[in-house]
Amino acid sequence: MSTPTESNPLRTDLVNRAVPDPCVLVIFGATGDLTRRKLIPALYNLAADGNVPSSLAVVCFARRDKTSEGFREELGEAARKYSRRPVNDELWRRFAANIFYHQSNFHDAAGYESLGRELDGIDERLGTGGNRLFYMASSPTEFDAILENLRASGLSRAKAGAWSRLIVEKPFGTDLPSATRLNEAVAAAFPEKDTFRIDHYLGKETAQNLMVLRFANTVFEALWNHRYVENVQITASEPLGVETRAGYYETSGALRDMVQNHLLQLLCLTAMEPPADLGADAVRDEKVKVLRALRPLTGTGVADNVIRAQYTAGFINGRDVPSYREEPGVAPDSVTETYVALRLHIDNWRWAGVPFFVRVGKRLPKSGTEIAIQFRGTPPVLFNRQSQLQDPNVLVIRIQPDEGISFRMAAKMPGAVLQIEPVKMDFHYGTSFGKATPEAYERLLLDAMSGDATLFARRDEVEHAWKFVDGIRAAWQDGEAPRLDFYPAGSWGPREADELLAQDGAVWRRL
Amino acid sequence: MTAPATISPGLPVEVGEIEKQLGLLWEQSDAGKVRASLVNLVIYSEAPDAIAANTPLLAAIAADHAFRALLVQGNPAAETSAVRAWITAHCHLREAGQKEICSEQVTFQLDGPAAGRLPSIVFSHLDTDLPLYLWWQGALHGDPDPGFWTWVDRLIVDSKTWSDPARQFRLLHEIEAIGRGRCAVCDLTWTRLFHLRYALAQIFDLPAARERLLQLENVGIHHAPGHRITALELLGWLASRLRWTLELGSRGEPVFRRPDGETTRFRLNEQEDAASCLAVELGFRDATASVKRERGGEFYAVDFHVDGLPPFSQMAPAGREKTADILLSELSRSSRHPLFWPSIRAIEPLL
Repeated sequence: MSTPTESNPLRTDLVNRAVPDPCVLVIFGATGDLTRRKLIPALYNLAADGNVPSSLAVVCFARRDKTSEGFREELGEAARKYSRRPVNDELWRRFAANIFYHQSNFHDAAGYESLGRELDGIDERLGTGGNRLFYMASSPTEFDAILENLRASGLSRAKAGAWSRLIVEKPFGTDLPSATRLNEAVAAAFPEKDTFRIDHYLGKETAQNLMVLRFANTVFEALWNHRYVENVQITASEPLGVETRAGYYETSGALRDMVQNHLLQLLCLTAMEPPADLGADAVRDEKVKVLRALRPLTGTGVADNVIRAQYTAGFINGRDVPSYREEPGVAPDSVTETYVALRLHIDNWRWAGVPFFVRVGKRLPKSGTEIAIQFRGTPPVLFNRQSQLQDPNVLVIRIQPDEGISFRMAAKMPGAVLQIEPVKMDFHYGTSFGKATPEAYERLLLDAMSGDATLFARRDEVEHAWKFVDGIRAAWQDGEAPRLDFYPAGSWGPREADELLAQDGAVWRRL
Repeated sequence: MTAPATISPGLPVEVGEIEKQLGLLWEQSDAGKVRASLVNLVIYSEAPDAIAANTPLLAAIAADHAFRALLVQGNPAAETSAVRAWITAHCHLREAGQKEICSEQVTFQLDGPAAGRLPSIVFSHLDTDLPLYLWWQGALHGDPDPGFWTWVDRLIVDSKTWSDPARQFRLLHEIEAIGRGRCAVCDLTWTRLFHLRYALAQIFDLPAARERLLQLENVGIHHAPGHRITALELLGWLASRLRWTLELGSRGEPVFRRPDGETTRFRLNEQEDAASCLAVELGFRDATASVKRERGGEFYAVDFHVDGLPPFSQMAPAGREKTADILLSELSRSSRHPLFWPSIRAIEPLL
């Protein structure tokens, strides 16, 4: 089947990306926060930019008893609150006219049969051509039932000349066995090429720019290896505590909430080899190779290379905050980690001997996600003869906030005395490119509608990541598990995490 | 927060002292300001109010696209040769707590024979290694100097302002050829059509519209006074994309011959109350399509109707019409306009 760009001669040169086909987006669990805060504002912004397909309908599938009219009003309020641009009333009215509420229990086969009839009716009325994009925004406990019903009702099978795709929100399981089970349930209903597993970090501009930085600039890739890189630090810090997510977080912890998905994805993009092309599978093949080369951490290896910690009471952003164990919904004797620091090694030719330090934590002083490439120092001659005078070069890729790239280098201070000081060259997206950056969900929804899976996780990526993380969790649950450390809220984490880096003569970057 | 626009070109300086004075300007500024530049933007104009008209425009653009601007007002008719220069900066605070981002503007007034020294003035004051975009306002001069044009990365013009478009397009083509592939040509009138072309194209993603596209029978374009060339460029785009050729109809009127041998008729309708960008109506044997913008509206209403089928109606972004917005979209573009010349060639006899 040809795409609109290929078959429509007027599309030439108007967009340099695939144009999405007309389709119906079906959101399961549409009454949840994700739909209000992210999905509908993202779709509205795509419509305002003229990037939605020529025909797009949204069917909101959920249990609660609501009408389409009433739900449109609710979504209108949410769009006004969360959209990155002001909502135009007329555009919203037209956009919302194609949003429909479908009330049904996720387990009720009849609900899927009536959904099928509703979708056929929409195709006929709006010209959506039989294309369906199913979005799993419900609780993960409902995934199996939804997938089985989509399969049994035939909705997951693409109609002739059309497509049927699935978007799955994280978490993709809670460990390798559950992820494998989920992937099998997905595979029973949808082929892998039509499955889009969202990791919204990959939709962020700077994450996408990582490949451009590495493979569109001669200067960096030549230095991107064990000969020149001392270590790599990947940090995701946030001042927030668990807020209203204690129920989820108590069963997840920082390792499963952040490391298994977002941080390992960033590590893959940082460490992977150049792909053969920019197609989805070529890029994902290279990411999987990194995960396969990741040295497994089990048993004592976990004690030596992983620090887990939990925040105690402290002071942050001008106010006193309670300890994790005092947060509502958290067990008073909880051992859930709110901070984890890891020393990882990638056992391949490029990265042999280079430690990758990864840390994530809640109640840290600042919000920030970044990748820092710490280069080796210069030889101990000339300016370096007496001691390691200069701070070595560091290339920092800031993922959020203030997306951008900075490079630290040494420079002579003006004057008769030879004094060398670090200076920073800084590139800010916001400064150089004034226009507003689209939200990650806008890009990812557009890609899914266009059939481009490059920024989505493939089954083997997810399973390799779980396998790695499960090894650490197994060691934590072992009788000889390394202890849980503690850090005061508002600090940069436990002392043990500093000592982990000190073993390699390194220190954490201060964001 | 945006700094208030100013019409003053800034601090008067000696031409030989410009870089030194700019350096002093930054040394004396507070630490909350940072100089930024993505491009050398040269504006050349012979209009008497060129400095007053373009300085606020540059201030507006600086909020979104940092530059070093060289604003040059040429006055070749002046009897005495003289060069005067001013420097200023446009600073904008993008976010609270961040530094102000500042773009430099160097303004020149070239009188008499000095107006012929444009290449020297430009080459001496460029920010090294950044691309050179030249916005030539008004009619292009004949006999282009290869020593100048081979260094221009993007030449921006606005054909809407030309009184003799046929000659000016020929000159534009000549300059582009001198650039030997380096110089990308950009007509702001063509840029202004982007959203309208986008909205029109979107209609033909619909299968029912797509299957009728090659049998398009009538094209009606409504345009405001002074926008005939805009309407012609849009018509040229349709003609070139659908491989129509211009010829004379049975009553001597120009029509397009389609590849299927049939003809497509067109009419350009000047309307006092039309939005400056256009409304377009397309007629098929059994269907109609239209794209219309209300005056000052943010969106186009896009409609397609086939006899016997439910009507299709959508809104598409219309973009902004201010010159600063059109120029910004061009500054943000790194690629060329591959459909521009085919579109001009398709309507050349009508210019």
